[in-house]
Amino acid sequence: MKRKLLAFLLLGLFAITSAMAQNKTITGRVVGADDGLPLPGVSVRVKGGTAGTTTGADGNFSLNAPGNASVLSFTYIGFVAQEVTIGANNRVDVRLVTDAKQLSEVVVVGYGAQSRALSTQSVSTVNSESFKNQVVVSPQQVLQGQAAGVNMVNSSGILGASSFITIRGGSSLSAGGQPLYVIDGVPLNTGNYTQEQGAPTGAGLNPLLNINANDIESMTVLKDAAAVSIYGSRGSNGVVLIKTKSGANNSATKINVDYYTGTSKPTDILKYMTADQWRNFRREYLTANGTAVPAYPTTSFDWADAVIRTGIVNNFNANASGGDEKTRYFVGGTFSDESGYTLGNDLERLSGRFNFNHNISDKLRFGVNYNLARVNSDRIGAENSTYAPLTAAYLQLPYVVPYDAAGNFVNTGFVQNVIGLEETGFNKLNSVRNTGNAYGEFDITSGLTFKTDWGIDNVLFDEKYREVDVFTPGGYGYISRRGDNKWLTQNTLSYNKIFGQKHSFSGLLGYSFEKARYTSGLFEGQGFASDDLPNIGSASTPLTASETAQEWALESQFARLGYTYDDKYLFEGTVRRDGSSRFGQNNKYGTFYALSGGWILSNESFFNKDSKFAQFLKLTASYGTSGNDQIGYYDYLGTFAAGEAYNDASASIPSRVANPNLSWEETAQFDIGLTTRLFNAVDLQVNFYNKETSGLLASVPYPYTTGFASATQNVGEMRNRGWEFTIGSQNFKTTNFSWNTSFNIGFNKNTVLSLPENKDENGRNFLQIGSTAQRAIVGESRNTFYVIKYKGINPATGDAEWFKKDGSVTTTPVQADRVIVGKADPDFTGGFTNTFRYKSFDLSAFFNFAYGNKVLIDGLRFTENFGTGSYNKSTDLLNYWKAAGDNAFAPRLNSPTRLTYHQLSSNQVQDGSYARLKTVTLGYNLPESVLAKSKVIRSARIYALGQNLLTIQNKDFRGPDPEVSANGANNLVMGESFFALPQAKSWTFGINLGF
Amino acid sequence: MKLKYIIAITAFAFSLSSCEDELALTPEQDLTEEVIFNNASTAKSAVLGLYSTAQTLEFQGSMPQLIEEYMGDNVEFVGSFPTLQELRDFTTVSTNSSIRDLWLVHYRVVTRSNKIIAKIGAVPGLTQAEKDQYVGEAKFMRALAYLQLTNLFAQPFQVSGGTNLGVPLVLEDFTGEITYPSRATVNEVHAQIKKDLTEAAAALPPTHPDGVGRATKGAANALLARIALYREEWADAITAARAAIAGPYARATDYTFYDKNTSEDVLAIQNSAVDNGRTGSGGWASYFSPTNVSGRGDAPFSASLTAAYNAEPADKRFALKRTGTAADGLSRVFTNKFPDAVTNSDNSPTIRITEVYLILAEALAQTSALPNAEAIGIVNYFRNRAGLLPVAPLTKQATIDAVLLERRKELAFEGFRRMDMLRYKQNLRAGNPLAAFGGQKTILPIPQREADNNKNLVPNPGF
Repeated sequence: MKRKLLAFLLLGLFAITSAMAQNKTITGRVVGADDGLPLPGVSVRVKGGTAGTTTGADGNFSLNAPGNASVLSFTYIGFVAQEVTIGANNRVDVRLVTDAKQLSEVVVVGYGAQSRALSTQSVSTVNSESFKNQVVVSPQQVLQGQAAGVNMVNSSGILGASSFITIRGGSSLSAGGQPLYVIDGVPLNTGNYTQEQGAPTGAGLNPLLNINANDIESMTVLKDAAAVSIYGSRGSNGVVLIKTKSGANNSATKINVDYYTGTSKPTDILKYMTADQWRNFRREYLTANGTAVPAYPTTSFDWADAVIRTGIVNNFNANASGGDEKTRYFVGGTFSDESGYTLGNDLERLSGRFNFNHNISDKLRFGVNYNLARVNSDRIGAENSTYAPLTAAYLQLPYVVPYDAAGNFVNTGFVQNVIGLEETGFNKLNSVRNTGNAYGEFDITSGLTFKTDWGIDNVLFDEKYREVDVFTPGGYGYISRRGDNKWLTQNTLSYNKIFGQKHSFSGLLGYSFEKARYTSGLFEGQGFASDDLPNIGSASTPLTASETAQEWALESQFARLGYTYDDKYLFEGTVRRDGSSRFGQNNKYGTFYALSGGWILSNESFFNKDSKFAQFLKLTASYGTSGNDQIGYYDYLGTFAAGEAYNDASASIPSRVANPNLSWEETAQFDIGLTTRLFNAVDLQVNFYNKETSGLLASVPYPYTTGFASATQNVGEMRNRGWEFTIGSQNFKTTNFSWNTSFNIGFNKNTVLSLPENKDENGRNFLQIGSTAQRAIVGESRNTFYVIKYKGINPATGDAEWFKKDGSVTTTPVQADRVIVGKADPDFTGGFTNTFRYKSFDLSAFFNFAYGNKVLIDGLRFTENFGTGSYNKSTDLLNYWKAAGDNAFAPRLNSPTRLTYHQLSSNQVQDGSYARLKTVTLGYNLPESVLAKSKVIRSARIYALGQNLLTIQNKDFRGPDPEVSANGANNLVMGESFFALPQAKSWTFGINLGF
Repeated sequence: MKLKYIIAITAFAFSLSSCEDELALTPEQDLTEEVIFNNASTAKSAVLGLYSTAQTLEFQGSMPQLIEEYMGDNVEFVGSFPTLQELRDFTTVSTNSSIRDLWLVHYRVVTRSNKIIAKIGAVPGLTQAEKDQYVGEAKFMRALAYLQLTNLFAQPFQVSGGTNLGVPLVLEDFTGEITYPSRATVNEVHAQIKKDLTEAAAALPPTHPDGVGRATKGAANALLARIALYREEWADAITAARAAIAGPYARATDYTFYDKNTSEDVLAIQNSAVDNGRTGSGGWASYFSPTNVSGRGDAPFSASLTAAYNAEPADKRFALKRTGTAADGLSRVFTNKFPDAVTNSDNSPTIRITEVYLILAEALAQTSALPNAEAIGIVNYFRNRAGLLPVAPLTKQATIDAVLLERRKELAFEGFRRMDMLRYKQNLRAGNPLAAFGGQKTILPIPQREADNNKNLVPNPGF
């Protein structure tokens, strides 16, 4: 490591000391005229000469020109060409004006940026415009419905809940399926930093909840091999590049201030009985079965009503940006305070960002991006916790009341008194995140630039929980502390050169090293002298004192070479070699590559760009590989875990089976794309992809007779194949009125191609981990629901009926009758936005949708449990069979199926297709004539915004919310929920001022 | 070519050479198997790992024992877990996750025992006596696991003389090569249990040098007596029980022993506030205590057990109870044999000397044509301890019945009831063929996950 860094520093040093003599070096920066943002890949030539260069990712160029050169020409696809006279100081800064007829967008790519028109990579970009002012806790939320091929599902309506996100169907079985997130070049830590508190394993709070959406300029989703293979062993699930806001050179200081406030409610909740309904039902049920009816208490309490409140959000954000000739900066801060619609759930954010770039000389630049965020939350239990407000409210017997006669909280046992829990004690999260990088960049010679970039991402999640004496005699508490500290260095040489007018080359050569240490501590205690003692140190009995630490390191070399001929023919090749500490001795290193090409037909002489029909047309194709390393830190080692105990002595137990051959899973992806601009108004992008993943990392189930549940192995193959369409259309535009539409849709078909030998009743290999209901089956989706098929209540007999495997009907199904009843991954997902502007008013409505997926609402096995007297029930059960001919929901009271009716079957697996009015915004911009009088205010806008106001779903859907995947990032358990909180329906009002 | 380009290329090529050491990171809280068995103290920690596994909820942590109690008729299960309700209702399905975990933990005990048996002999720094003792403990633990497995997953000996399917016998150390064992018969599994226990009894000392909570000669003999009883091998039961009774044990004189270590215990798996098998799903005190003292309130007295005690209401064992709110929100009566529902420090009563005496009494009663005086003496010892007058049964059957009644009242909530009913061909529930003696749902299903992963496993019929 040190050896290599030294080599790089030496390289920089030598480069600095060598100077150019005979010619002059001209430097400068090219930006867009309207937004001041840098333009990469602009051709810069000496007028009349043959040679030239192109601008780098940040718009900078350096060109070695003959001493007598006087004029530079700048050409860039999508922009009007410009010629500029070289000044006395050999510095040329240019602002290029867009040419409406062509694509002028710039996209962020791995270790750089490109003109979308000239790029051969398949990427989707979500700009801040599409999510501004939205109530967003975690950055993944802004991707929902905004990028074709990206399926994002919230795990729950808990504030800061984790998310399930796949790009082009995801690429893994039981290794992580989440994309790599990179913020301003720093790959983010995305571990499990919070206690699950009833959420499924790994689905605690979102690890990115302290990345502030207000700071984000754009999020770019890298999808095809050409785009992701530069991230090598971490690219196969896709990569999300987050670019934060920055200032512009030579611009006056701009200050923006935004404030909004609003309220929220759940979109829907499950049905539940009142105490009277429950008692009557139970009496009828027990009587019908000849069982004595106990003397139920006569009290009543509406638990759900008591734990749901009106949530409130307040968000204040201010930022300043600007710059002079040499310096650009952005400073921003956010304070927000949100209380969720569930009792006891609050989240408070305070974060600040500082981005700074400075040119020391024409050849030497440096910059810093730094973010410091603090997010505090009052947590609540989740999902499968009977200490979670809404879960307990659904299950609590409705005659149980939270207070005794004297008005004191009572302990209600396993299904705990959640009102008392939330009103006493605490359940707090404090998190801090430091993310940033600093870089230095030096133009060694014409077109050759060296950049060294050093970054950190330090995360600390501190949790503190305390339960008072009523709920645990003597009181109980814990503190949990998890941290993840990463540092990395990335060093690149980039080279841009134009030969003979038409041959444009760009090259990138890089080395990076990254290392992170994850630590966790848990201290748990019981027995406090008083409820007023908050700290674990006051506990008489320490129950747990644990500390663990894990490390990983990644060392990489990478290179990219691009070649463009005459802005018509585009080629790009990428290679990356990664060495990871996570893999077995025999497979520590892996090499990944991609090749891509493009043809801009619209730049051919035969193409009439002035026709009204098509103004731009590009075809691209790419093929390449990438990997996935998201497994445990030491999965290849066979070990005994220390830290167990027996009778006050330390004990060790076998914890892992050795696998020295453990390696990455590798995804080979083929992509073809078409990008076009039609009718001077419609941008259309179409892609087809075929992704095949081999050596899938799976936690392969072992027969328990080995003593192990599973081991991580490279097994099996999977394919994701699909189409993506993205349309942006300017439907109508006059001075007073405009109407824009954007639409994206991604179709994906996931098919498991092979799995280790493990056959089902039909002779197909399958893999089932973590779910009772879904499994990966060869020839089917990775997320296939495989359960007994429910038929319904027989109108003649009142018995519940199921299908046997052979299709006949039975009242006593067995597990061998399980069949495929659907899949959790949608056939397609997407989004549809319409934006209208009339004079000073703007109106925007955004729908997102998913179709063809099933969701399992597992909590129904409880709330629709016919025979139990242990918890509350759904009012649907009141519609039980009473007489022949009834088309009842539930069986006859004394049917032999009364005790099996609730058991897992397709009765709980439901159509999860939906379309949702995700956001609707109405804004009013104060006219400039009014603002001009103030002399201070540059812009002013007031707005109202609604989220999740309308959901279109299957009319028979029984569950609070079809948009759910409570297991968070777990690939093999998708679309399942126990009692996950539904998404919030919210209304906010705000004002935005610019100075 | 300009010098700087040469330097640049050279430097870059230099950087491409890899640095293996930076990527060789080792875990900080795990040890490799080679290290564990290369040192006396870490090898001992692996032996203790076996006991730590035994503490688990699904082994000696109360779940199997609770299931025995409510599938029998001592407990009315009112808890909210559907997987446990299914067992109560005799509607169990093979995907039941509690049963799946129970199977896993039992085989963890088995395979971890196999590991000790295979590896301990070569550990440097251990004396031969220590090695013999550790191997003996592992064999005891393996036997206990197989006995619980056959009790739960196979029809009892009484159904078809043990020729029916038991569970897979895994006796070799797992070193990475997966095997797919099929089910041995109950007789084959029982034979292995007896072999392991006989060897353990020979190898183990009467008292363990490391103190209480470890398997000893007496524990091995007591378990031999238990399996002989379950197989109706009365003479063997008598021999083994007498051998166990000869150990350093004494019947308690009152009922204050439940939450402490006394000479009443032959083996009690040791629990403490910081180290016990309780999970969020349950535990000894958690299942068996009402909600107001921090229990789950899942497992109160059944009406049948209450009636059995009420026949002689002065029974001091009936006083071992407390009333509180059950999981269904109603007031019910719970045992207080496991008083600590707050920190769950109660030990697991794996084998008590009282059980061994009752085994002896039952075997004696079964093998005497006339009422057996020694058996009646044992019964009356326990009746006297309970504050009841002695009985004088007049027939063999009355003697057996007297022993069984004492057995029920003495060992209630400790996990014997279902097997005691099935041994005497009683129906677990009336009017339900699935719950009758030999009924398909009186035993647990082979977990679907296991049947899926091992095609050699024949499922139990009816699931």
